[in-house]
Amino acid sequence: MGEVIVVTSGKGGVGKTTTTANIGTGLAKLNKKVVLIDTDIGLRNLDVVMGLENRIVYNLVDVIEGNCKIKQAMIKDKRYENLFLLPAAQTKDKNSVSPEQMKTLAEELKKEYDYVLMDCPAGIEQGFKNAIAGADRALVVTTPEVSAVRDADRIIGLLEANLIQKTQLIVNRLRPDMVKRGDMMSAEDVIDILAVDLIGVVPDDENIVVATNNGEPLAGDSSLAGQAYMNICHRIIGENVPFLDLESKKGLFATLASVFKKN
Amino acid sequence: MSQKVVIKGTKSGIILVLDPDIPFDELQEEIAKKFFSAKDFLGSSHMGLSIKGRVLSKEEEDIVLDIIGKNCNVKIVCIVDADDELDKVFSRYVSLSDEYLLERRKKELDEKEEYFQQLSLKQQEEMENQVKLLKEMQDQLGSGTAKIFKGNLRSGQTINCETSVIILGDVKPGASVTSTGSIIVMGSLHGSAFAGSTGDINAFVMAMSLDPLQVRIGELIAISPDAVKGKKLKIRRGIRKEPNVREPEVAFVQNGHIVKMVYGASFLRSNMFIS
Repeated sequence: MGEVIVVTSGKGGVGKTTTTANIGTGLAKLNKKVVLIDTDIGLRNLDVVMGLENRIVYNLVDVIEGNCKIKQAMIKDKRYENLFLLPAAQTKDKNSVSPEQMKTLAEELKKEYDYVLMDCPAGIEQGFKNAIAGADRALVVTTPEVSAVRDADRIIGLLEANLIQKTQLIVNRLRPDMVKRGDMMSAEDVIDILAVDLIGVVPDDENIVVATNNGEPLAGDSSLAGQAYMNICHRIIGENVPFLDLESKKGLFATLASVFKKN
Repeated sequence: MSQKVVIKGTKSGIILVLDPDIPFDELQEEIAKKFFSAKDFLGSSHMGLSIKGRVLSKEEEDIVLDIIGKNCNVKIVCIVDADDELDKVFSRYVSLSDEYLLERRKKELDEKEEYFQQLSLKQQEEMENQVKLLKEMQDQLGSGTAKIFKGNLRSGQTINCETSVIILGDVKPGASVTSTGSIIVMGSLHGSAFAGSTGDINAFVMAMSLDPLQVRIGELIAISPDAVKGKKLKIRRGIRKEPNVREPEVAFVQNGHIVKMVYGASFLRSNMFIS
């Protein structure tokens, strides 16, 4: 029996879809059978980030409405045999699916896959309700900004109200240099405010932008963000991995700069 | 017979139906009663009389006439004999004529039915022909009629056409065009195009810049190639506009595959559309 994980945030643009894509890829790399479900009906993005947009024939709404079998709508990833995507419909809206239907679908997929990752849309309306309907665990993504943290707090409250016990936090797009200067909240500050378990910190990384544009998630590669995502994956499957030391992984330029500073 | 004496009135006479079984004396009384009660109804006109049901002798007839004269004001002008033989002949002819009529009518009906059947056969043939023509027309719709759509088609928007479709604008990624015929985009096609949606593999997709996510013609599906290896190249392909002006291209079915060709002089010379 697999696990259904919803990736949510409340606020838009904090990196839910990127996180979903990278964690999915990371789990697939760890030889888990994974399916990613895009629940952002009408504003789908996960297929683009995964670089699978051109393969879409059927979508989530087709599956729910019974126009096709689940297998037909599943898109196999370009690189990983055991990673699948169930894309959202672009021409429908969020009301074409109900939480009950999503729950049934999640239950169905749980039997066959180790992890079912739900990419939640921004907001707390129908789309959010659909996404969390069948979830066993929630990953709340936030950036170290007051607005994102405020929304994350609201979301955590709603998740608790919907009896999702396991809620874990991902602090995304952290900039160690700004934290050091005191211009940005640190991961610890965010945890203090939200009072939930931290599962990972992902630094702000240019490589993410490149990977997203290429449609090839970078989880597991040499980049700092890739390693951070891979660590999250290890923690999801229950391994104990120490947090990355974001400070030490400076680029060449930063190292040179610090050398000059010392002199 | 429920009544011993029955009076039936015709236009200019009275038909008296008598019980043949009861004695004549009894009958006289009954006749007297009947005519007395019908006195007002009959009035005082001149009428003929016909007796049926019982054969009367001359004397008996006179007695009956006497009774009628006493009990009402009708003047009996003459007595018409009810001739059984004649009756039989008449009735036979009538029934014969009925049979004849029936037969004739039956014949007519049969003829009519046959006619209708023939007509319906003809109509059926005609209908079939029309359906055939319609199908042919639908098949030809690809080159026959087309709807023109003005404006850009953005993500999430769809066009569904029963004819071919010409789009004066771009089709963005995430938008889709479905047509039973062909699709011509006078702009760039970056979304999905589904030509010949009812199965017409002669349909084609054409665009000024043909770079779609998906092209479907009939049952066939072609997807865009995945990004080329090499990071910088990929970015340029995905995000930036290509600097050189692209030539219009056509996607069509050849040997069971969807192929894409530049719509240029060489393509036109190859007569691909005709084959």
